[in-house]
Amino acid sequence: MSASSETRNTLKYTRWLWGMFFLFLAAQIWVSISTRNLRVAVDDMPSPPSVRSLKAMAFGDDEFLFRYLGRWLQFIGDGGGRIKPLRDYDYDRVVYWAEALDALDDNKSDYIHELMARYFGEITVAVDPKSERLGKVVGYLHVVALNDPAHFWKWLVWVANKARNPMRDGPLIEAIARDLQSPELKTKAVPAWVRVLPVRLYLSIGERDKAQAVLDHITPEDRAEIEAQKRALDAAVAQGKRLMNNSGQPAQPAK
Amino acid sequence: MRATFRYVFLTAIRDRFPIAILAALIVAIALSVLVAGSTLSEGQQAGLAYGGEFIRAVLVLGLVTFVCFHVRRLHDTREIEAILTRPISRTAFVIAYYAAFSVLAGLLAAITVPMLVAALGAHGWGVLEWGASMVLEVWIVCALSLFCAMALESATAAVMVALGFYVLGRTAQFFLAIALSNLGVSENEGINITFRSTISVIASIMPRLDLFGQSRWLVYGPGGGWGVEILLLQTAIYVPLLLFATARDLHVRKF
Repeated sequence: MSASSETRNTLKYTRWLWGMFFLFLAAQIWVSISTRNLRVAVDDMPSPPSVRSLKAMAFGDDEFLFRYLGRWLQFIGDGGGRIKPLRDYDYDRVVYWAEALDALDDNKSDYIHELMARYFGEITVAVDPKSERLGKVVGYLHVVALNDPAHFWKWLVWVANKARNPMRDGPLIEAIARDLQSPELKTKAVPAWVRVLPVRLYLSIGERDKAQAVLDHITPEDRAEIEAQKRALDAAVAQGKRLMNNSGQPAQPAK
Repeated sequence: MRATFRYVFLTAIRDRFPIAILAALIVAIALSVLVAGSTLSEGQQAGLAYGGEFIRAVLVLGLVTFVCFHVRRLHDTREIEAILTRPISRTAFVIAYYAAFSVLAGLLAAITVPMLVAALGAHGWGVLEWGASMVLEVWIVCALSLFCAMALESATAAVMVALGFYVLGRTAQFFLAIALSNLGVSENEGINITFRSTISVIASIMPRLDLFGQSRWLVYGPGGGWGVEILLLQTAIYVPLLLFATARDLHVRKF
């Protein structure tokens, strides 16, 4: 075979290779376009595994698994450009998962509690008119708060707010008012207004005598703290200062 | 011995191993920061837990792959025969080789501490305890990989066996807990006793790798029932055990 015919053959073969490359590239583009409507299946929430299974999945690092599954619980049901409405969740399962994950972290972290309150607990009356789903979140956070009131007192306040509105659950309001008078909450780590909150709760269910009894038992230290806070608040309002930033957190003092 | 030590370092640099691991560590930390940003709250804690586990995965997978393929190439190119013709005993060769790998691995593990501090704001004794435990863990992984690579004829088989052994080391105590809880796997008590005894023997032989590198230390600080002392003891027992086995294997091998 002469050199020129060999070059011709090589050129021919190279052209054929390019041709095949573009043919398959075009096929890939066609497949890509024709499958645009197909969406990846969104995971549904399974029943939570047993404590033993969770320990096996953790490979010795429970904290990592807690953080991993906590984030998974935050996004479960959403994906592929879709968002699952809160009304479609099985709240019994959600609470089981929350309890299982709390056990994995020895109830130290506030992440699952935040998730339950700020995401699953934000279900509206329009889709949960009898507060059946909200009641499960409230029940969970109530137990969480009672396990360590000095640490998780803010969930007692959250539960109290939900019990008043939208749940309007008198017996629960009364129970929380009692819980808020727990000796464990009488520490400096808990603000004085939390210990005075039962007054408002009792008043909201018409228990004026019990409200008065709480007022009668306010300690001088708590009274002084609340009055100092009230003076600071009045001064801030008089000066037109913003009390909260856009995220609802206390505004930083101007520098 | 010093020449062997230097040889391992030079070949590691030639294979761009430290650079590859550093690049993978940076990607792992960047991923952790990304994940941390997507959580509802406690983003830093989530980032630290993810960072700790990703770093662990990069170090273990990287070291097992590098050590196994490095040692097998040493056999395939007959470099090991050239090295052993020098006045160095086979035991000294194993120790020098292991020392070089462990110094390299220890440096790479130690570097992750300032990376976690800088990128994810890790602080306190917890990150130091975690860093120390990572150094000890990679020392065990190096000894394990060296043993597998010397004992097995194929690099791929060595990687698979070393990783299998590692996973078993992190889960054996969990299986032991199941076995000791008297949960039967079968109706036949004889089978149950055999199962429990087998698991008990396996768990006794395995190193307690599940105790190392707890993300909990990064998030909440030291504590949780054990400290570095027990990890130090585990390393001080298991590394010599594997090195003696490796040296014995090399002694009976004919080149």
